[in-house]
Amino acid sequence: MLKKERRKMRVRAQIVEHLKIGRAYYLLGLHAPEIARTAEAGQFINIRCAETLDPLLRRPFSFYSIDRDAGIIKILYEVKGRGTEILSKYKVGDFLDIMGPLGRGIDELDNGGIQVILLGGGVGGAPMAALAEKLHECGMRAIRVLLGASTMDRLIPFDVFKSLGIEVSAATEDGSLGYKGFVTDLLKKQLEKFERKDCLVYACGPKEMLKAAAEICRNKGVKCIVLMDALMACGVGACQGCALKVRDEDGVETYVRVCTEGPNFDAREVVWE
Amino acid sequence: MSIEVDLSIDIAGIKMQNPVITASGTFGFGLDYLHYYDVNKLGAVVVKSITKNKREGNPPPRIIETPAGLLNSIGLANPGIDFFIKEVIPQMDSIRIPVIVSIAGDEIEEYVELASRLDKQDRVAALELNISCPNVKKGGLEFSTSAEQVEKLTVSVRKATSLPIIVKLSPNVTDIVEIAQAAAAGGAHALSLINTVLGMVIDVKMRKPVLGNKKGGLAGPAIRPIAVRMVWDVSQAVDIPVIGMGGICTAEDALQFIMAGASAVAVGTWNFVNPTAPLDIIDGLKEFCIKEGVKDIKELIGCSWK
Ligand SMILES: Cc1cc2nc3c(=O)[nH]c(=O)nc-3n(C[C@H](O)[C@H](O)[C@H](O)COP(=O)(O)OP(=O)(O)OC[C@H]3O[C@@H](n4cnc5c(N)ncnc54)[C@H](O)[C@@H]3O)c2cc1C
Ligand SMILES: Cc1cc2nc3c(=O)[nH]c(=O)nc-3n(C[C@H](O)[C@H](O)[C@H](O)COP(=O)(O)O)c2cc1C
Ligand code: FES
Repeated sequence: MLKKERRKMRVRAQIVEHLKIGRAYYLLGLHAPEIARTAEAGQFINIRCAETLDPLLRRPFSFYSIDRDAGIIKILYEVKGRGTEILSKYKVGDFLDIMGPLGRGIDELDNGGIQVILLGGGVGGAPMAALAEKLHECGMRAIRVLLGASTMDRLIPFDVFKSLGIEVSAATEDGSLGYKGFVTDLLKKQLEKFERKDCLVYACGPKEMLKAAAEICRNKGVKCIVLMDALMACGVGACQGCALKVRDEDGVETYVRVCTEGPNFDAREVVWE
Repeated sequence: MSIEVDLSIDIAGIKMQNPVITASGTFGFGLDYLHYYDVNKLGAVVVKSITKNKREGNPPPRIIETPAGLLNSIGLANPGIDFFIKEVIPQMDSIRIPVIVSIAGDEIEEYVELASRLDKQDRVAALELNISCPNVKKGGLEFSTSAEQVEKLTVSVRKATSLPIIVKLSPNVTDIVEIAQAAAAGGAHALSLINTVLGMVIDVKMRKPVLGNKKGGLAGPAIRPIAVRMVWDVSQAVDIPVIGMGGICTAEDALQFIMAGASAVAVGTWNFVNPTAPLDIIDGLKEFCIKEGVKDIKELIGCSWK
């Protein structure tokens, strides 16, 4: 039996691309062939943003794009605090200490022929780009992307989806682009249009958005996979810091590690507190 | 020119090829980092504290970064002794260095039961008693704060096992030397220190503590000087070996602990940032010894006060 090698790595990766995208985000491309080789959509890398002791910990970022042939991985990130502020100052040609690929990749793609909806809120749309590429690669064509943000500057770029021929609908809370309101309203409308239940929703974004998406999907009897966020210390399963409460089929509640058992979970398992 | 430096150390019969080990709770069960390097190059591994029953741990958020530190309130999340013996120990085949198992409990009887069950496990080289748990029977007061309780606990555990016993001391006490002496009097073979320093972070926007458990334990470089001072005090007051930890990142940090009196050192939080740091520290210790003409690292133990 051919067992898929899932080796995690710590490498010094050279920056091959670093662009400011819109007003809020940065696109970072890294030459890391060892990581690209086994990386899967839904997984992440842990970047050491500073060589100093403060900020101390690495910062986790999802794959935005994985190019195995070129050995290049990309992330799309938002400057949130000190770590990402420092990260944004690195130049093409610099090296970064990264660990990955971490977490479980999204592998629930087997129901061929179903309709897939990719839902992204703010920078949470980033992993949806890698997922769209993967689904497309698997021959899936019935993909629809719904992106939301407070304002148009905070929508992630559409180009990855467009280049795959995937339709993108956007929602902004201020109405600066697309539908005025929450992206979850678009999800609701989209699901109402579908007759069949064999639809699968992947969602990533702020917790409130995920919670709303989970509820909408549950009411429609549609499966929803959510990519969860958590504060992380190790990213590899050693510290138990990234706990998320889940409920199993028997209603028993336990904590799981977002970095190891996740970051993707069936929304029905998540205990939304 | 190649000079042979002896880095090996024997702590209460635990034979280590070098004095660099991992701190409990920061290295899982020694399996999570197998992907990153050859863990067998370390002196020993200390696994996450095990309790009698499975513990879910504290509500999240469980961690928050602080200046050069990490505040955590994991709450001893672990699968319990049955799972550990049945499922984890068999997976430890690839670990050939000594495995030190940390145990914790709410009552003395719990430690005793854990010790007697682990006594029969060949894979276990020693036990580390994590005494920073509230003693349920004593009204929730931590074992670690009462010299009398620590001595009683150590005596009881020693009766239950022939494995070497390491008592892990908490810094959250008035006089750590008094507790160290109580553990030694109770028959501890070695001491390890320090556990995390109690602390808190408040989210000013929410006007609430950040951690789900409100308070947590501070670890990382921020606590290093506290730990070095405590190792210095304790190692001069007891005749048993001391394992030092608290913010160790580099060989120089490790040397501070050794010179303060530690026979071995443990890397904790820094594993998260630089998982191969323990190897760099081993190399750095060797390099230091070569440069300084030290043939045996044991010569450096406590040299700052001897
Ligand atoms: C699996 C995973 C994948 C992620 N993928 C991406 C991604 O693709 N793109 C992206 O921009 N971000 C992503 N994040 C979030 C990213 O890790 C945080 O935004 C980043 O760590 C913030 O670091 P900082 O030093 O800039 O902020 P800090 O100075 O540490 O914090 C600034 C503010 O951000 C909050 N914060 C810190 N860490 C997180 C976190 N993990 N989640 C939410 N809020 C946080 C803090 O509470 C604080 O309010 C991901 C997180 C996880 C767990
Ligand atoms: C996330 C985390 C979990 C920990 N869990 C345990 C534990 O289960 N048992 C224990 O004795 N110490 C535990 N500790 C304490 C460490 O073993 C160590 O004593 C302390 O962190 C100081 O070392 P450091 O500064 O190098 O991390 C934990 C520390 C951290 C950061
Ligand atoms: S971040 Fe350490 S276990 Fe998940």
